[in-house]
Amino acid sequence: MSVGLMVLVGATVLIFAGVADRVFDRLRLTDTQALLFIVLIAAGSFIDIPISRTPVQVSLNVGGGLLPLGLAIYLLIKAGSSREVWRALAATAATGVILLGLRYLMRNFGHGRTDIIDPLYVLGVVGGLVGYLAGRSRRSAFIAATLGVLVTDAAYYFSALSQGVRGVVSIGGAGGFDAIVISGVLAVFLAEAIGETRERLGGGPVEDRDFPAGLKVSNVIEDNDDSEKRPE
Amino acid sequence: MRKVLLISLILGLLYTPAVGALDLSPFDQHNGQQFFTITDDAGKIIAKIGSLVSVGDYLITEDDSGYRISSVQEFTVKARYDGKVDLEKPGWVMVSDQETTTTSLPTQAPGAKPKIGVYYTHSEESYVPHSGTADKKRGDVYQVGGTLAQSLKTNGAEAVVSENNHSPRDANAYNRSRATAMQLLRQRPGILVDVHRDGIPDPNYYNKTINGEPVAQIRIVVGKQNANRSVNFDFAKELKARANELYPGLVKEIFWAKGNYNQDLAPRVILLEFGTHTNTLQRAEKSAQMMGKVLATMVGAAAPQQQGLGTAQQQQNQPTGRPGDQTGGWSSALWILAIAVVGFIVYALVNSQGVGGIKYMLSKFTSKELRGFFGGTKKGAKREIKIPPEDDQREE
Repeated sequence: MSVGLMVLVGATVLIFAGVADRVFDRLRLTDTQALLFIVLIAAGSFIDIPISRTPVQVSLNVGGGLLPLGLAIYLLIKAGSSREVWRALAATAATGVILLGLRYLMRNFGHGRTDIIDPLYVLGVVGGLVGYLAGRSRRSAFIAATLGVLVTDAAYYFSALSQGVRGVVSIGGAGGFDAIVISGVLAVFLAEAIGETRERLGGGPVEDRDFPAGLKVSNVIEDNDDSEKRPE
Repeated sequence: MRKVLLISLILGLLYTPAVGALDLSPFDQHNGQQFFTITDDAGKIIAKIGSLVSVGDYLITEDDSGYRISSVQEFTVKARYDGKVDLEKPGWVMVSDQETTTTSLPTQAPGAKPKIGVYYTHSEESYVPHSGTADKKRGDVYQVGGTLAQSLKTNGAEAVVSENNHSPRDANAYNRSRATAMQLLRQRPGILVDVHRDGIPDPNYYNKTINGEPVAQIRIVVGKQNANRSVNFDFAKELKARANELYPGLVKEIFWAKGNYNQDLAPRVILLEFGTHTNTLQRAEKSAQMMGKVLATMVGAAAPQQQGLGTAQQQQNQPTGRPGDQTGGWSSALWILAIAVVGFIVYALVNSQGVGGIKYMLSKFTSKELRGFFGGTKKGAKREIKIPPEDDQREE
């Protein structure tokens, strides 16, 4: 491979890893955990767990499927309140419905029918928007986007089964570059952009002696408590 | 002003999926009934394409003429002539009509056989004269790909083929085949080919006779919505140049169009359309056989007549390095870095309080951003930090 190509591949990987690291940093993972998570995704991309072979072949990729989905479920379990759990699940359901609706609307679209963005990114964009609007948090956006992709995979499985197509459902099969990971990362970024934008439009963050202006605490030190009130 | 920009950002983000969802135009690609007709400034038809054509797309025709799509009205497309494209140079370098370019073919690489991957995103695509239908559950493209694989083997390369079926032929087919492409890439092929066919009703558009044999010409499709587009475009031009030498007229066109086509996964991931659904399967297989030899020579595989060469002679015949790979890779990498820097600045502006906030963030980079790795607190200093509630609870 030429030097130019190596630089291209390296830059792509590094930037994507850097972006993903920032995203996981926002999702209850410490800096070390976020980095370790990315390394595990990369390593796990080479491992496919077969689930079924006929009539529809189903497999689960460790890096691209098991890990991000596992993180989403972990976030659900560790949610601070039952309301947060239900909101995240509602966001997931809404994302799944919208994605299935888009799938139906785009059923005749073949080569290049992307208008502005490729279908690969539509999943993340929809997940991020819906996840944020329904759950109003980055975590909900991540959960909605990743589990939303799983909903589309499940829908395809049943569709292939009913039509007798010997299709393939590879959950997270493209590893770190699969729709699940890309959607999750994109969703959190969108939620971050929208959330921060709303906050700026609303006058900016509230200042307090513990929170100097512009300071964002990225690492969660302790679990949230419903009784905690925002500093005045 | 900042509020206007932020509101515009939100509206822009909301617009993107809405357009894809609400645009209910009845265009069904590759259904054989609807297709785009491209004419030049003089009104002469230069191409017919079943895939979606958009303003800004680029077309390189059989005679290496370059055309930039300038307008699209329904299914009528106008393109502006750009000149003769120099297939040997990266990017859009034109040649004068008097110049001719010659290339030396790579012949053989020592060691293990080079690999070329083959898969089928649109697994249903078929040829009507053979199957009586344009689409079926296991399409005729599998036979075309099988012939391509056999030709690769015959010409000294190793074919790694995935038989995965990604039906139906919808916009999510590429998401489904993404995993297949990745599985093949893990076997480190030099080139990865996604086998397709076009959907225009006129078979004569692709019919041609090469070396006395009837073939269906091939279109190379390069997606421009991915970071590898420059490298893949240069590779497509190189492929056409090689094909022009071995089998003049085999490659009908190069179409640089909207889409990802999983070509972001690696360089030299290409999409080949073997004729259209109204061509015969035999013609498509014949062109696949020829393309197999072209691809094999590109990766430096030994042609049968060269397998009797001595070791010293074989070692002299190395695949020629191509400056396009270097240039395309560097330019794409620089674009990615530039986009990342812009994205970082936008992100930082949104998260911080203007330029001052960014300066503060950068000045405290190691102590705050990398606190998890390098500590960052003074020994003995204790400071309790109250954690704010989760974002959604903040709204209440």
